[in-house]
Amino acid sequence: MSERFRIMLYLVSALAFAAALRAAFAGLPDFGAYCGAYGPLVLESMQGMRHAQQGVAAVTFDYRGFDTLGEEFMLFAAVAGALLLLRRQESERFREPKDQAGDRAGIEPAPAVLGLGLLMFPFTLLLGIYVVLHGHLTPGGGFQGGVLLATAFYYVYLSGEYGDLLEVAAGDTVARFEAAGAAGFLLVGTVPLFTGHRYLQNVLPLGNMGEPFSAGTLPLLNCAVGIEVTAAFLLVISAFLRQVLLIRKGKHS
Amino acid sequence: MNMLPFLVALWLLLVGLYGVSATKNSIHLVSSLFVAQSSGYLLLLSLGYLKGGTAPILDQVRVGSRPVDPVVQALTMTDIVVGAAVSALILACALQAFKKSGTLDPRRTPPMRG
Repeated sequence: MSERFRIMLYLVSALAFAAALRAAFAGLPDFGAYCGAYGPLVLESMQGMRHAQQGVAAVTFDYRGFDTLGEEFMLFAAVAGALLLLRRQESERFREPKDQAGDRAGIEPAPAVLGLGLLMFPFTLLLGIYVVLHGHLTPGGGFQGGVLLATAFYYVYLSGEYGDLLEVAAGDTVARFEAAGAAGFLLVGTVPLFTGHRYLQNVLPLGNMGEPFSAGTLPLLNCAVGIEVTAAFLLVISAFLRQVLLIRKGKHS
Repeated sequence: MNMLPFLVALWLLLVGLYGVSATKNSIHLVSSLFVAQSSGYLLLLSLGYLKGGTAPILDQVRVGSRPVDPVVQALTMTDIVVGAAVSALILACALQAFKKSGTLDPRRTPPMRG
């Protein structure tokens, strides 16, 4: 297919598609005049039924908890697939990174970069933990906090210590954390079955609204997801780093 | 009537799809796909918006404003997670395809064999 024909085909179909979508949008309620039924219903019921005050967390981990289970395992499967693709192939070998500078000193990271990385690491870690633990009270939650927690470890990489990041993710520890996070969600869902309740039913005491230990299973599920997302992002980034730094063409020697 | 956010979402989708169809680089393909997908975020969020609305966190709602719909916001979060996971997977595919065929152009990459 020639380049010109490909672009023409795109333009023609895009125009038709845009016209159809534009017509469909005309049937939507005006911007700012939302009239859906479920949102207000959730907002009305969640304080009484769940002692929850954060609507998004209540929807994600309670009203749509089962969907979030699927979402979590989709992330799990995607990360497993990426790791499978990025393992060492038969035609490749691991190569320890060598100092190519010889007798000259290697390039050290600039002190400012190193200092900033070391400074940001604990703060980002703390912020991530805060966002996970308060996911049912303030904006945030397991997914967002997990990404923040993984970002904290990226600061280690950015400050030039990529070897440290690879070491963190080298063994099975991070993979076990990821599995534990995924299993934690399953477990919180399964335990109510043994006491005659439904899957993922909120059986824990609901506590006082606005406190860290409130809203039943919401904080638990947030923590499980937070652990899984942190580990998943660490695994993926370290797999890509290994590709760049350690894996080379040629048979294993 | 005010349709601007919906039209921006439409524009993002078309721009992203243009990138997907005209691209000669797998990494650019992933970026374009993400742009197309972000139209979904915008569409969902602007659908759930209420005039004078505020975040659906009930202890922080000011007098006179209403909380917006939390359901579409939760859906947007799902969308973002899916987008990140899919991007990682495609990038991994692109990397291995580059190593096998020496090109990032998805049109010149030969079919994969096991």
